[in-house]
Amino acid sequence: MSSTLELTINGQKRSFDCEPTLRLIDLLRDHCGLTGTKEGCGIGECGACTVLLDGEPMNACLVPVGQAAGRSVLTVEGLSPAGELCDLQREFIDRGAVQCGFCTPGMLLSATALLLHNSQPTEAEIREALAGNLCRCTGYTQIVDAIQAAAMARTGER
Amino acid sequence: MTPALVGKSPAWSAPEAVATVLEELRADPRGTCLLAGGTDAWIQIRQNGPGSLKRLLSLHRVRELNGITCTDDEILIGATTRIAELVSSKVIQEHLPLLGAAAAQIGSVQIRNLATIGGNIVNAAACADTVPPLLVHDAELILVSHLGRRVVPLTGFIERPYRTQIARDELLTAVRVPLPSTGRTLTAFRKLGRRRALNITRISVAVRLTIDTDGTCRAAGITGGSVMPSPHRISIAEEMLAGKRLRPSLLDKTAAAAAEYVFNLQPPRWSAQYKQPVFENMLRDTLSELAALAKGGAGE
Repeated sequence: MSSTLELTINGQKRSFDCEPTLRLIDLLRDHCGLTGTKEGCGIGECGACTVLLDGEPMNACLVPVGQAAGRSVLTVEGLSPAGELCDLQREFIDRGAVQCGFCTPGMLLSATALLLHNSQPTEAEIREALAGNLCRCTGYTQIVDAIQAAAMARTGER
Repeated sequence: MTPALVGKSPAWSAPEAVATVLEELRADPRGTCLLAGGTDAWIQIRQNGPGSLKRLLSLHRVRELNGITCTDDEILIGATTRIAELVSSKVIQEHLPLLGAAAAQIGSVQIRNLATIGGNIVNAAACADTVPPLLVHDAELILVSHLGRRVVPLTGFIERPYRTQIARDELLTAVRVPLPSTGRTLTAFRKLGRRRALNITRISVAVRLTIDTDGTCRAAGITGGSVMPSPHRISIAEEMLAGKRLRPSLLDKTAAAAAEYVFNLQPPRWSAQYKQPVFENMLRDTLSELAALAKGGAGE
């Protein structure tokens, strides 16, 4: 039962002819070619598929497109203009917060959401915000450092 | 096109009115599956394959099911109120901090942004963290169908894990919690799992004590999470505290009696040798912490 659904993806209003039961992650990867969003566990535990829905982080593997219709989706591809890196991405690279890179898009979006409503998070707040994003490479320390550095740079404290 | 599910996709509807939901449930109670946040149900549906599932009815557009309202004597929490909203709600922070504390420990930020209180209750996993706090606050559930409306206590509503008293054509619209009575109310929630992040509860305790001005305990509400097939209050322990001063020896005896009761509810399992003393210790620690607060005069 296909129907026409409208979503705003990375600032662009788009319409899709698809099943409402299609998962948001499949829509992004297979229909939009936005493969920056990764699928890890597929059951909402690893956070690799984290995207922002109306500014809030959610697992794209748990959202049927029918529930995302009419809403605004931000993926890692929408964090900065094509060919450029945003401050968080730059800090992740500079501080060795990326190893295999599979968790990175989800980490960046959880961090983006955190900094949207908390410009100077403590380490504990950063770790709480990342509790739904698993990383098997870095041990998290570099990721927390990168987010703290980006936050400090934004508030002009560095 | 990528298949949405293995096999034939179920039909999808997302009505805006409760009346439409009830009409659709009436038309096909067996073939319709309600979807709220979907953090559990959606995964189960995908893992089982569509099977006999003919229709998925998403509740995300039904506005009257969402939100928290507070009157003089009760708090009404709409069934699709998300766990994140419980955590950030001023009403919950002020009147039901126990529920807020338990909600803050559910899943991750991403899960709390999707999962709902109604889903947590009706899905009826043993580890549902909103249930113990709601039990000690005497919560009731408002269930409606095309036949009418009924209000049932949360205690006994969950018959066993993943099985409740809700009929196939019924919808949980709201959770009703009476406002705490006069007198000082002290509450605490403790939870134990295998890890800190995305922690599935292995054992939890929820305690609510009403303290009189002279420091005696007027009434107690005590229950555990993940340890009872049909979640209910542990009245044998509550009665031991009612009208008493909270002396350490009484707290020891109460925790022991509660643990004894809980772990005799079902045939012994391999994990009981570990869980019973741990539950007893968690409850004694929680009671001791609240007793110290009662003595110190620092309350909520």
